[in-house]
Amino acid sequence: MIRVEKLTKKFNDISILRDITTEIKKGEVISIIGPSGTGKSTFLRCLNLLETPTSGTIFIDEVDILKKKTDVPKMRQKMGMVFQSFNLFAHLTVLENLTIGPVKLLGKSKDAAEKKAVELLKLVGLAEKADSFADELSGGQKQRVAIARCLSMEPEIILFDEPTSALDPTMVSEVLAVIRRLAKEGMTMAIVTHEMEFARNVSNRVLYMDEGIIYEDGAPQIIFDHPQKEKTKAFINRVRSFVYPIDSPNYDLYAMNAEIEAFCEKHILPKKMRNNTLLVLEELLALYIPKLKQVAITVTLAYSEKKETLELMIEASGDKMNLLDDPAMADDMGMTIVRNLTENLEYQWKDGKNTLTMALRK
Amino acid sequence: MKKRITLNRLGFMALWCILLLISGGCGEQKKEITSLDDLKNVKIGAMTGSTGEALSLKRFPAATTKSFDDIMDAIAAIKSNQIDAVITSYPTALNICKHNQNLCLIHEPVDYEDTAIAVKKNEKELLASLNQIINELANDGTLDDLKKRWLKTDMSPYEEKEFDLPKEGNVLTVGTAATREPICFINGKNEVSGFDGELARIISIKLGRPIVFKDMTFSALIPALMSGKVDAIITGMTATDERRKSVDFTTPYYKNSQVMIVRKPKGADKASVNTPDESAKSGTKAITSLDDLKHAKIGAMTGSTGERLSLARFPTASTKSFDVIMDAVAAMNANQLDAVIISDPTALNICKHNQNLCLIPESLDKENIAIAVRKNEKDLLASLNNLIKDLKNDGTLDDLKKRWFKTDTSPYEEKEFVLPKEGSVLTIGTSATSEPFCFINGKNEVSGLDGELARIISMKLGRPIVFKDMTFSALIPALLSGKVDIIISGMTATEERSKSVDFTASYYQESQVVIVKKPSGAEMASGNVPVDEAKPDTDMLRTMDDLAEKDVGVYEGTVHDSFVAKKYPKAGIKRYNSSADMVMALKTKKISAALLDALAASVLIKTNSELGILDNDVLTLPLGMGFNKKDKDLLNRFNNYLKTAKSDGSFDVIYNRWYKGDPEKAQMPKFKRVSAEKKLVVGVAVEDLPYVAYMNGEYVGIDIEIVQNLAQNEGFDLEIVTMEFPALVTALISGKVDMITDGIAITEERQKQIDFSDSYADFNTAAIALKKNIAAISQEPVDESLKISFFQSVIDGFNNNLIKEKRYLLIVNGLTTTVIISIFATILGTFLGALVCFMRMSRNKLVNSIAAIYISVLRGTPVLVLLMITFYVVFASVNIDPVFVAVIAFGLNFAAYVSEMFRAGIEGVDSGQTEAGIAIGFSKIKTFIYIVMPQATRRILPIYKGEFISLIKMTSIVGYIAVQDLTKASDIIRSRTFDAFFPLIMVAVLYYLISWVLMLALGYVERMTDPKLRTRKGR
Repeated sequence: MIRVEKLTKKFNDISILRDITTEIKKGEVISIIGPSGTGKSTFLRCLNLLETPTSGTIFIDEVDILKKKTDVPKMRQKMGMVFQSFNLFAHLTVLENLTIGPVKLLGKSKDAAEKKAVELLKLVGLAEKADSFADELSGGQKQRVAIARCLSMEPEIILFDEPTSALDPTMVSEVLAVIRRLAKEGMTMAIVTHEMEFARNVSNRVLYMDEGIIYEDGAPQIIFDHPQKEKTKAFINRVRSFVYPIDSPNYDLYAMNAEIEAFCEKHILPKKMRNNTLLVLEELLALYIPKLKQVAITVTLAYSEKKETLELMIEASGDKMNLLDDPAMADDMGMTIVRNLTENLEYQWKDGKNTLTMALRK
Repeated sequence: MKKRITLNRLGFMALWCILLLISGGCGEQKKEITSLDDLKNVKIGAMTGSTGEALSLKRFPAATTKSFDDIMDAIAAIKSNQIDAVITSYPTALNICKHNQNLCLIHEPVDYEDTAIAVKKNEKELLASLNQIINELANDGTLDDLKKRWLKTDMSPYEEKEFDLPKEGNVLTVGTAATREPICFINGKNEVSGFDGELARIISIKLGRPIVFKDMTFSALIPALMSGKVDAIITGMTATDERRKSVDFTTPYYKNSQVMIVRKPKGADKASVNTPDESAKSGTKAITSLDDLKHAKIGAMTGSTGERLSLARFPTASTKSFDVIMDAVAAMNANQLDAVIISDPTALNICKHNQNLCLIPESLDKENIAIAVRKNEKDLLASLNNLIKDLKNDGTLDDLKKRWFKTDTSPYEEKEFVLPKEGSVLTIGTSATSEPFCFINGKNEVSGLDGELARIISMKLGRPIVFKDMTFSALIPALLSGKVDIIISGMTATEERSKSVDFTASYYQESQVVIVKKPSGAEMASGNVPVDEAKPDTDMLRTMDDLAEKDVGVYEGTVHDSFVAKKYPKAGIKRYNSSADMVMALKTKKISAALLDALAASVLIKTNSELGILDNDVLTLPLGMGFNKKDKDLLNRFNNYLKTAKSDGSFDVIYNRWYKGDPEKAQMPKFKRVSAEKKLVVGVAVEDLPYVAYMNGEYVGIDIEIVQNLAQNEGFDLEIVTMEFPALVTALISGKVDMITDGIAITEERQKQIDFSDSYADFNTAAIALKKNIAAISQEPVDESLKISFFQSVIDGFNNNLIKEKRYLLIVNGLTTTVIISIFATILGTFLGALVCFMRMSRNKLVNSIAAIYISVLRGTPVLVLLMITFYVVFASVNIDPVFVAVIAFGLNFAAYVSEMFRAGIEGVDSGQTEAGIAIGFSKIKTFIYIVMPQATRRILPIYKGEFISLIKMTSIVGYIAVQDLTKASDIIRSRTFDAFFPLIMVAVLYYLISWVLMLALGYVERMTDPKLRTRKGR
């Protein structure tokens, strides 16, 4: 139904979307997940040309909508869109919000449109609010009206742009229930969402987007239970990471420690684990730095919320230098401390980079 | 010596005041102070730290003493009734009373004191040399000379001496408090001047030291001297013991007295009225000769020669410029001006209408009035010059002058012209607010000498003319830009103007004269106003001959006019257009007696109990109906009818009905309208019963009944038209009406112009006057409700400014114009504003910046300037209706403002609304129409309303481009009536009403766009 080829979107030379190619088939419910700022919303908005792509082609029912002579408004009528911020027409009642499109665009009679609108409002459970104005509704009610408004245009597909992000947690479920019901009825939908459980249950295909591309694409069971790629894994496991670069032997240890403490506090790590992390890091850097000709070290902490593990990675560019195998280190006091406090200690040398990874013991 | 004389004279004045207070019985006013004894319990103002303050506290312990830093603050306080008296030194007091007519001095001095120069203690050397100088000055008479020159009682300017002051040497710093004219004040050159200023300069020369003045508040002087900021204080400071403790004083150079200033007691005015000599000399502002104008405020018309003259001849006077003459006259009436300079014919006219104003008979300058023509229009200029030469030679110009420049208020005899209708139109610029040169007459046409001259020119040149009426200062720009072809508007041919336009030969030499308020008392003395309480006896009327030197009211254009003029040449003739005016004038004592038809008089005195008949048989004249000389047939038919009616007795029935019985109760028989081909148009003036009146929607009266009978008998379709009495004859001659009637007396003079029918009745003239003034009946008790109430004066103003000469038509037309301009400018501005807003929001840089420039330029230009540019520059060579130009100019201006409002309103609508609209499938335009605009409108309307209101009010400047809007209409009316109050208040109210009505309309739109209100109402 929708086919996207080599879609690229740039804002002032910054690529938001890079060569995206994918297809949405009729009847599919697609969830688009991924970290913030990776182009999920932009991708969705490109589909109905609320954003004009920089290059690439989009076919809807085999019509290239980027061609000049394509009647874009007509195309848009087939694609409903639900916004994060609802965007109900403030000057119209709920009922009028639902009838303005059918009457003005589809040429329906006012009576027919109103009849249909009342039906749709019943569907989303808001028939009694027909004469209210948007500013008299709660967030969840607004979003349900917005969904009904989409349906009033009898679209072939609905694009949801983070439909629950602006909602109180208490109102999320009422909106998700409506979407679930639509999915059940076979509506084609593309949903950008952060509700992982919902995405897993409702969709029959998941797109994981990161860094402007579709990073991984597959059935929900695969993406959520056996993600193939590193970043997908990190995302699914809800990995939070902290990176600190060191480029001088006289780096500011206390500044780095303060940031690490802040990271640990943010993710509510036990105090013991935090102290151990600082101790291990200090020992390792003390061992590393004198041996390097040029100091270019990156320290990365990665905390997985799902597994509740904290991993530490130290990357140092330069000649190969394995601290683990160095016999001189065998009895070293610092190395002993590191070994005692960590597990899964691993070393790798690749592309002129010494990488040491370990997990802090619990 | 001189001082003593002055004192005596002022003492005389003060005595008068006191005497009047006692005799006039005004003693019930509590706070009137005439002697020092009255000061015991009052509030006295004094200057902080002055001897006056100490004196006031000592001499009047029970009084409240208020301290002021500045003498003018104290004066302001006394004027606003916050204090009752001010104590200050004699010369200052003198000066203050000179400038404030409502203040006066109490002539017992509170105390005498020595004025001396203060010097820092222990400066023995300086003190010694100053003492020596003062001694010298006292001996050689310099001090006396100073006193003579500075302490004046009249308004003549000070004779300041120029000194060559030493420039080198040790500077002497002199402290002054220069707010006390004439002792010490800042003169026009921003220097410390006055008695002390000159003394200081003399000292500077004698000491051989340059001086520097430091001007400060009085109370700061001694501290400044002690701290060495100044070396000496010369500012009329009294050498008191207390001050001697801190500073040293020289020998006194002036013996000063502290006196009290108080408000003039009520009635003092009357006193001065009775002694006009005194009032003139004691420094009131009466101006009787040109020399008195030196320091006066003089009004002149912007860009007129009067303005230039005023500046040149009276450099010390302040000249105020006005756009129209009636503003200047209004300003003078409101005491904001002392004199107005204008040309003599206009001045004559103004004085004619404003009894409290008079001319100064010396003329300032003679100047030539000519027609202005655009440069290089040699042909037109030459033909106009020839024409003027012809008019001069054949006496037409003299005739014009005779007919238009009258000294009395008799009506103008306007001639009717048959103007050419074909040919190239000659557009004539006028500024029709200076009667008798150029004014708008009752028929809303440009009239006056210039108006007639223009019509003569039109005939001689064989070209139709169009008048464009605009403000005087806009005339030359209009000529230059080709909006008008020539200017005929009493314009003086000055050199400066000749640079930009050409002038024809002069058609009138006018002189610029000065109008001033009549010196108080002059009115009384001249006896023009007979109602003088001072000499009530002479008001008593016994016979008609007592009217010989009084003001007599007559109907404008009636035989009484010439009758009074012939019989009592010294009597003042006041002409009125209605008996209502005449009665009003009688009641308000503007006239002593009124002459009118005896029957009408008997009706009048029935309804006005305070009036009585002085003489019932002043003059008897036969009455006839007037016919056009060319229409002998109609005349004959009428005479035949009259003859038959008289012989068959039917006329007697009519005559008895109206003459013998009470005409108020007379019932006129009903007449059917004859639907005949022949129309008979009868002109009447609806003067009053028994002749013609308009009652219950019908014309009634003896004249009407006769005419109706005539129409019935002879088979005419009768049409009665109403016009002013003086216009009847003109209308008949010009063929506008077939016959005229309204109690018209048959006179020789009239017979020259029209034919009269046989007489159908006699016309007895009665003189009526206030009963109490009629000797025969003055003993009868009279209802004393004669004073004009405010209500009555409003009615008077209403009649004068609206009803008379159908001036309401001017207002109605003006109102229509204002509303048209406002509404169309708003519509144009709104659409243009929407376009500009659209451009401003465009992403195209060029389009965007065009809009931005448009907005900033239009918002940065005054609308008046924009209006003039549009008319005189943009559409200079296009013949275009100025109303249209006004709509364009205001529309352009409005667009600039509302476009930004629109932008703010549109940008205020959340972008999500647009996105949602587009996502549903609306095109951009439809999204705007259905989604954005309704929401933006609600935001815009409140501020849009405000801008709309200010647009309506802004339109009041369109008079600049010859549009007669509401404001201009009131200007025209004011130019005839010289009444500022009624027309201005009326126009203000009308503007308010326009705004209010249009506001209601917008308010309705606002409610309609409120979605909640609309929906709730709809369901």
